[in-house]
Amino acid sequence: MIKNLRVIITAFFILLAIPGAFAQRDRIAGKVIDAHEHKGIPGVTIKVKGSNRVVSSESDGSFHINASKSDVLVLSFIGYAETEYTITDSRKPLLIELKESTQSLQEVQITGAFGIKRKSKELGVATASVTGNDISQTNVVNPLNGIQSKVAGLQVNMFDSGVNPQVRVTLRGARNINDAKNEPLFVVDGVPLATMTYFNPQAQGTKRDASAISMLNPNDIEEITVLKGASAAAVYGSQGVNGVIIVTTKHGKNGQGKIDFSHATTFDRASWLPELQDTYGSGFNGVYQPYEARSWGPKYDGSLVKVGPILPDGSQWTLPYSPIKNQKQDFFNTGITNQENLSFSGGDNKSTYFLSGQYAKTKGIIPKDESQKASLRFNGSRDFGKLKTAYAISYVQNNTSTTTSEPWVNVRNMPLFIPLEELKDWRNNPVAKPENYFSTTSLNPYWAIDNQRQDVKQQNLTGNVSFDYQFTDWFKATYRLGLSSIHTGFKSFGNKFDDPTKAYQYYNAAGAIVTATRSSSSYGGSAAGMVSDQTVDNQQLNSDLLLQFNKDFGKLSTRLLLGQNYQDIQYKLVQVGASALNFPDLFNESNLTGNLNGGSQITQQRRYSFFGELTIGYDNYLFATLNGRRESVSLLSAANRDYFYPGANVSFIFTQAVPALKNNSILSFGKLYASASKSGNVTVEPYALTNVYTNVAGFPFGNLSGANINAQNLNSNLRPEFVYSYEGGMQLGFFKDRLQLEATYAYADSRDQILDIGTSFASGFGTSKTNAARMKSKSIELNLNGEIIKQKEFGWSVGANYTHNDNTVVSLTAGQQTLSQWKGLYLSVGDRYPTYLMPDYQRDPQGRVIINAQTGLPAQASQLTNMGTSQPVHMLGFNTRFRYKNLSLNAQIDARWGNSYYTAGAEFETTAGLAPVTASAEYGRDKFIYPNSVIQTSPGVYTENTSVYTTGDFNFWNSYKNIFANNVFNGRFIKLREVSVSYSVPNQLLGSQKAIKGLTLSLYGRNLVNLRAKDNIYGETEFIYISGVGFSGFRTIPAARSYGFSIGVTL
Amino acid sequence: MKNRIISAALLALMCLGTACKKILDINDNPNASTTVTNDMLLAGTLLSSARLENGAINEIGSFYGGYWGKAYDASGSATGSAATALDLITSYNIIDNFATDIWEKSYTYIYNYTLLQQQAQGQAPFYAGIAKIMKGMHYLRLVDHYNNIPFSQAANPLITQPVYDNAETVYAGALDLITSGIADIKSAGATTIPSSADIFFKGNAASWIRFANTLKLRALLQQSQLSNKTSYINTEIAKIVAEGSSFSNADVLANPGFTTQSDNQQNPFYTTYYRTAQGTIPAMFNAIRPTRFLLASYDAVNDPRKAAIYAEATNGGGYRGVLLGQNVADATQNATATSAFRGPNAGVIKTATSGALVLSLSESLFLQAEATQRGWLSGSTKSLYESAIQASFSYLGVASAAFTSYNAQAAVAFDDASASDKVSRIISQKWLALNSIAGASAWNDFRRLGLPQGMPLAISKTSAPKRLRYPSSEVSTNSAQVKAQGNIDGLVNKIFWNP
Repeated sequence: MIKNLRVIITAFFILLAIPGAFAQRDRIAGKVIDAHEHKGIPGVTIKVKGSNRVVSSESDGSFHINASKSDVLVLSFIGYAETEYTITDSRKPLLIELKESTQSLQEVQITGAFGIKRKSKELGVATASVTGNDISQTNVVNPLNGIQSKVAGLQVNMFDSGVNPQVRVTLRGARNINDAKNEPLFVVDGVPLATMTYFNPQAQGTKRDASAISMLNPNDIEEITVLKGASAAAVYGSQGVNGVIIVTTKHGKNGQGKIDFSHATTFDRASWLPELQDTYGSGFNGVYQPYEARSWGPKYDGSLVKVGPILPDGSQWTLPYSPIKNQKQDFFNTGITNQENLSFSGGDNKSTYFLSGQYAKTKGIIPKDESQKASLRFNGSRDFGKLKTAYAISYVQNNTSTTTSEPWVNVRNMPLFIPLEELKDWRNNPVAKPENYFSTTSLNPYWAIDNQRQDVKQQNLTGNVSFDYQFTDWFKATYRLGLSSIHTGFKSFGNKFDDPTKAYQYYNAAGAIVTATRSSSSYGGSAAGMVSDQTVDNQQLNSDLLLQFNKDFGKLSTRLLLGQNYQDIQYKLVQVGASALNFPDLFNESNLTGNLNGGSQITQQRRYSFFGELTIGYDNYLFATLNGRRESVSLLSAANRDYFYPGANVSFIFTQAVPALKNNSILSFGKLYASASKSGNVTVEPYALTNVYTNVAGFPFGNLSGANINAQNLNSNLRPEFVYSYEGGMQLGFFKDRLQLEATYAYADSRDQILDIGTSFASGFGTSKTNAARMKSKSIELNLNGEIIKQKEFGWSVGANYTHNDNTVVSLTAGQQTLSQWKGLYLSVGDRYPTYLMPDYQRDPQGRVIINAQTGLPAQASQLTNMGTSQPVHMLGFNTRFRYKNLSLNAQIDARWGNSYYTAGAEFETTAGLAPVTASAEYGRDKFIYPNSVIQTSPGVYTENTSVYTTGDFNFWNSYKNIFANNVFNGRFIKLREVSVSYSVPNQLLGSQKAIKGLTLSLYGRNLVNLRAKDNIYGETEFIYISGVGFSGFRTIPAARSYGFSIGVTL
Repeated sequence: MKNRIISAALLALMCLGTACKKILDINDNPNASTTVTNDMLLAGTLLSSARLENGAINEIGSFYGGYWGKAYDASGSATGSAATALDLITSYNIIDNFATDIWEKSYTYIYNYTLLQQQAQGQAPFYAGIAKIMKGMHYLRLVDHYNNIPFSQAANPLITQPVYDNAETVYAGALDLITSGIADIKSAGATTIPSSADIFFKGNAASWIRFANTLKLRALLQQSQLSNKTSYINTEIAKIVAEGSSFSNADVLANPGFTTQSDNQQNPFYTTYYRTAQGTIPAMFNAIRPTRFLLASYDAVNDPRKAAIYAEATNGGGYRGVLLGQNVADATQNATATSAFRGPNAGVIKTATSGALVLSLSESLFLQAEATQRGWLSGSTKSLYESAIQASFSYLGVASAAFTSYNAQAAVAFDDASASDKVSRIISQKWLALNSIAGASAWNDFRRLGLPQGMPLAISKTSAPKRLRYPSSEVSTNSAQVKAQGNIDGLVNKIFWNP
């Protein structure tokens, strides 16, 4: 390490010692104009090639620069092709025309590591970029929702359609066996963003979450670049092993100051609710029960029935026994999101500034759920000649209030004849009061909405400064320091209500008073009330020193990057709570009875690394890059914590290299590329090396302490994991690059993955942390973009991207074939990651269910059945854009298939007696002949069952739902993800007034059409649950359809 | 904050050789201790053991020993083994994922006792002795449920797939462990003696040894039907007699200082089967009901314990029970139509702060009565038998005066002419005495002796449960060893002591 540093320092001084050459210069005046409209263009960067002299054009396009004859000026501006202009006469004012860029693949630049712009053609790996406009075209609040299906290989899923849902992003599927460790690294303006670790009530557990990126204002984004492969780790370190998503925010530009204001309103409607049977009502095994929340009663017949307990006045609620249509849909509110955006930007030739603010308020589709987000970002730059400085600071506050009572579960399972409307006024309506609620097993959902809640206040402060010093025209040093800090405060509470132990009495059919048993679960676990306060602090400090060397030697260009990075990540959680309250309505720990609960958790990790990247280009058509990184992390033992990994990639522009292909009218650009890299990664949390002792539940009793060793065996010999990845692809441009095709194949082999493998409890521990698993992934990505019509007034472009992901578990620890992840989701050697292994019925070789000839019941197979993977194997995104004069129309279609989808909702609906299958013609509630079933007449001989009946009672259906294979459906879908129409009011309509420079109106919709597999009548298949995609929890809220409008004004 | 950032930045820039190595030395856990005292390990694990005895172990035995059924309209899961639906248990549907706590927790606690034993060996033999006795108890329980199990290679994290030992070997090995534990406690001398951390006996050596002897006697009696064990049993009995401390002479209770402050600071039986710390009714209170066979057995001897343990049905009809494994609608077996536990301070429901029962005096006396009846020990069987019943009355809160008339009945009196089979008479009374408090002993006796006679099986079943299957965690992690045990059927394959 000392050696590495010495090399850098020595190189540094040698470079300083080389004297620059100075020539005679003149002050030259000039003007940049649009080649088509002949108007001046402000803000164009003009640089003297091979020097560090840079200026920007004024508002009328004019500029002054010190240069001499035969110097070459390089002019660049977004939307225009980079142009070189050779000065022939230094005394005459220059008039330089810029042509609108044609997205030439030769010239296209991407913002790569550390904000360094590089020509895409030099790169030997697949990248993609999405502009800020594409991200915010439907005014999403979370920018991650805006990149959904716009990049091949990128997969976005969200928890559900509640307010502010957790969002999960992966690139090229999974590289890690631990689903939580597959998120890419997010980098904003060169600074990696902290991932959050906190208790996520939606996921019922601790989750890492790309929360900080979710809080970014989508309107502040200039562009997002996606580095897809593990090779990104060479420059970004371990955390980049799952790819890197680089966000560049908007900056001020030289020229006139500009004020942008926009407003957007979006409406959300819960859609695609699960289908429910409406034939049978409340009760059990065909008998009506006034206290039963399950629909296992007699058929609805419209007669009057008594519902619920005897009320304080001696009466009992009486209702017509017939289903009420559509009220499950009516339970949901129309969600409304209002966003106001304001930004100021501008600059002169020395400095720039950009200030933006956003306020977004979302009212959720669940009553009373809401979220507010306010963000402020300020960035700027200042140019001191050789020294350039830039700084940015942003503050975001996000306040969310949601109910923790999961009212949708309750409402969905409620018998259809109970009028929800009557339950709303729980304070005054006797039948709605919580203590008089009709069910003995559940709470009035409206009471629960008001009385069981969680308020979250999240504050994110991010700041960074960078110093750029141009020592010579071929050597530049950059230092950047960034700090990202997220402070989250949670307050959860549950109210208590009067006398939860009060006996539940009702009049039976004979008019006698009888008592029913009240289940403790009816009080949601907080009959006595509860309150819990939690604060979580995440802080991440990042420091980068970067030395860049660029030098051309004839046809050979070289580029060397040497860097050093240091990171410090801190986490602190403090929680305090009371699990029983003295008085209702006061949610403070001072109001407790019983014990105060609480604790704290602190973690810290550090890493530092040295890295280098050398790119050599030959004659602008062949580029080779070599890179390496040596990393040291605090997470492993001193013997294992330092590791090195290298990588290489090559890019070959054959249309430049082969003279015969140059200036071909059909094939305008062609590039082949390949890369190989090894990337190290350490996925363990801090302190995973030494076993600890933890308190046994209940301890301490007074002064008496009691402890046991923690249940999981930790391991002091953990080593880094390594991902070996290989990638190859080509990029082709046809017809002057109006048609572009990119195809990539990537293979990754992830070895020595650290996981908690199961061990025999007889060894003392049930799990043990080990470097054990190996997984491989293959991805194919195809990207096709075409500008079909490109005229001044009319344009039409289409794009499509396709991803095929194949992740397979190669091995677990020796002798182990499967490892349960979460309720039916397994790691299974030789199968896709992850695979559903589920209980199914015993079946004959033809797959028909075997029925017991005596009892008429099917039996559970002794082995679990492979029900496919939960991850979509194929993903397709399609987008198109029409432009006619000032009107434009965008549409985005998204499809995923090849996956299975399990829903616990189906389980719950079956238990509740509401699943349509329980009332269907083929099955139903009377005895039935199990469809397509057989009877075993002698070993191995099966005859079709035509006579043995299966009972359709609760017991049958209760065991039916436990056969998880009955709750697995095809997970495919096709979705009309986004549609937007926008209209920019033409300048002539704005007239001669000076106040408004631009006015844009737009209408948009999200998730408008959703086509799913026919057997899936249960819900959205792209939501995530505790352990990943394709698994829908019983609490998942139905998908929402959104539509809205926006207006944007530029002053 | 600002200074911290600046210094961190400087640190980052200046990071050279040794300095860098030091800044990474921050991986010492600030949240939990990597060491533990003997007292903490002892108190924690003893309470865990008592909870397991009061929970999953008592529960399976209470169902399969004939005491408990499930209210027809109650659903729910067995205590501490969330995956096991009560319906599976009551219908004898013994699958892998079934009462897994008995396996998983027993071995976890055995490992913690092993750590205590290793840490205390030499300098604090009293602790090591307790650890050995408790390990012995857990191994005996494991054999009673699973027959062949890991023993010689168990509790060693370096062996993640331990081999299975023959059940007989494990039983004998467990007895030797207990014997060795007794020796350790006797040798403690002036070394550290636990006080409050010993939540069973507060460091009373004699109580520990009597408890250990009782565990040994119970294990030896369990092998009474094996003719080839006679000489082994005689040798082991001789060791107990030679040791001289005799057997438990009081209820063995675990009490770390239970409070009503939270669920997990209460008596575990009280919390699970009667009331939570908030006074709400737990699911098991509504689910667990006496079998009709049990109530009829109490009625047959006019047993005052029935009314001490049970309440009359909420919706009238007096003391009502259920049938095991009922799965056809029957409102007479609903929770409100049948008897729940009476409490608090009555029958088996004591108070939230009472000690958790590990071994009752009544059971100790019944064990001694059977041993004297078999001629293994000297003493008056009749007086032990009567003391055992009296101890049961006393524990369940029945007035001691009731004993005389109770004992005078032909069906109870030890010397009555109708009692031709004295062992049967002892076990029948033992069965009535241990209702809900020692389910495992009841199931063990039923498997060993087929007593009490006439105990019905679950509806539509022709065979009673004989054992449990190895849990799924074991099947997936130690599959070769599990496979070597053959295809286990819970209704067919027997424990080695089962004739």
